[in-house]
Amino acid sequence: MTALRVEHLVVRRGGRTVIDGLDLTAAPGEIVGVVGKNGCGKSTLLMAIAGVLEPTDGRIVVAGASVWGSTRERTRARTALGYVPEGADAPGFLRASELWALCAAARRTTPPSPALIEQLGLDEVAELALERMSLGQRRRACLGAALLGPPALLVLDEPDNGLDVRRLEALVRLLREHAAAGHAAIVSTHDQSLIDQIGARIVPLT
Amino acid sequence: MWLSVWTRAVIAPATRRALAVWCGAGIVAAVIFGGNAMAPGDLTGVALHDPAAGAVLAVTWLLLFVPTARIIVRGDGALYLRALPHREWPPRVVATAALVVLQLPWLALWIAGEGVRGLVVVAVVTVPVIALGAWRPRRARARVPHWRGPLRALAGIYVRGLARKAGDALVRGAGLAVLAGIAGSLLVRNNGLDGAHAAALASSVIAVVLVPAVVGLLLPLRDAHRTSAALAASLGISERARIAVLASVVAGVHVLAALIGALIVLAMTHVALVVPVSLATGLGASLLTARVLARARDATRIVVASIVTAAICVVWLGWLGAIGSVFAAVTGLVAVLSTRAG
Repeated sequence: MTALRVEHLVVRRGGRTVIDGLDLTAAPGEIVGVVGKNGCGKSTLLMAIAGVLEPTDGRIVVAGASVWGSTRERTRARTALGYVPEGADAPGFLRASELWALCAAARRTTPPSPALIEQLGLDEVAELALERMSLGQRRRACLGAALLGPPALLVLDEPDNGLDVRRLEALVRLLREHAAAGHAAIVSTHDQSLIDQIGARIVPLT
Repeated sequence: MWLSVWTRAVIAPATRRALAVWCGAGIVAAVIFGGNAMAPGDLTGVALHDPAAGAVLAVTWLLLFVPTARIIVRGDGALYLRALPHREWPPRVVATAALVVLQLPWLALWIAGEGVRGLVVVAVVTVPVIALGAWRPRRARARVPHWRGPLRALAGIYVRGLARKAGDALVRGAGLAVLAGIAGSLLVRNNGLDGAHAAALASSVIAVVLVPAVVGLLLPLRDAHRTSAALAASLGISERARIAVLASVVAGVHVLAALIGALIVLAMTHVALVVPVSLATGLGASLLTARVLARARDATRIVVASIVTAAICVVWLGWLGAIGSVFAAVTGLVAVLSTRAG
């Protein structure tokens, strides 16, 4: 079973067709890197895959369940994915610890493990509200939430934004471990070196 | 837990937005129904039997409530939460309940006025409320502005800040301005007033009802003023000039709202004097508020300032009648000219 299958995806936003007939797959253990110039639809694609933005046409299947299908399929698909947003930020009034508790409860899994807390330095941000965090801290808090489970598919929208060198190394390590455990990830980024380091298969968007 | 976070992300901001409408509607209700021998049934009866009056009332409520409904119908504050597994029906039930409860002033008016028939009216009007709330207009193609001079450019930035950050508050403000005009007219008519007395009374009502309308616009203006400070300094625009630009934008918005209210009064009572009196009062209130806005850091101070400035204007009008509006305008002018820069 593929971790992610996108079939003939069409997304229109503000009267403009942002994605037009895109097909894409990600196998278990594979990392897909979505690249392209600003405004080409990377975030829109990831929002549709993560179940945030309903596509105009096409089908998105995560771990065998349609993200935009029946209620049961929607729940199964969302349970199998972890999302780090770029545009659709988590509610700013939540503390990081509350965000993790929310994601753990919704996906029926456990809070961040001590190893994850150590690697991402989550203890520093646990009691901060998201709206009071720096960009890098918010990214780490959302990564911590996305990695709970761990999910069959990680959907990461520019996860390296605002991360310092140490945390960037941790992100690379976590993504490699995630793929080695047989889970997939789709990552949008402008950073070619990140793509190289995580060994992603590049999917260019035009 | 998902539902509780969704409620905090969607319903709580909608409730905050609705509170301004409730305040405005409460003031208007006190003016119309408090000791003026008018009952809710009189107003709803007129609205049901006169299509024009009914349309004005319905459009006024649309202007007032659509900005609140937009938050609930679109649910943009909870986009991230859609990526988490959740049941579909609980947020729909909560959203529907919120759409009913947050229309409390409208609901109360129609149930008190028409009973069960009123519920049908509320349900019918809620349909366009939801449709307008869900509507996402196409974004206009951005044009590169050509401003002549730094001060006009700064004013342009403030106006854009208002349009882009407070579009909903502008719509709600227009609704409250219409409501202010209706309330002023009914008070003048029910008391059989004319001339200067009518103008002073209607202008006082407009000044008071405009408080919740203007507060929603002042907060984004304060943000635009604060966030443009470094840019203005780097471009050599003085603090005094910035305060003058801020005051002119606040005055422009406030006077426009007062004009809407005054024109409604003029149309309903034919008291022409209400237009200059209301405009001068609006100018005074706005300049007094601008003085506070230029220095204010917290929102509470701005809200209090708006209430106090409206009260000062009402005192002038109550004491000196229509001529009090000139004193209100002069008070505002002195206040803004004496604002210290830095």
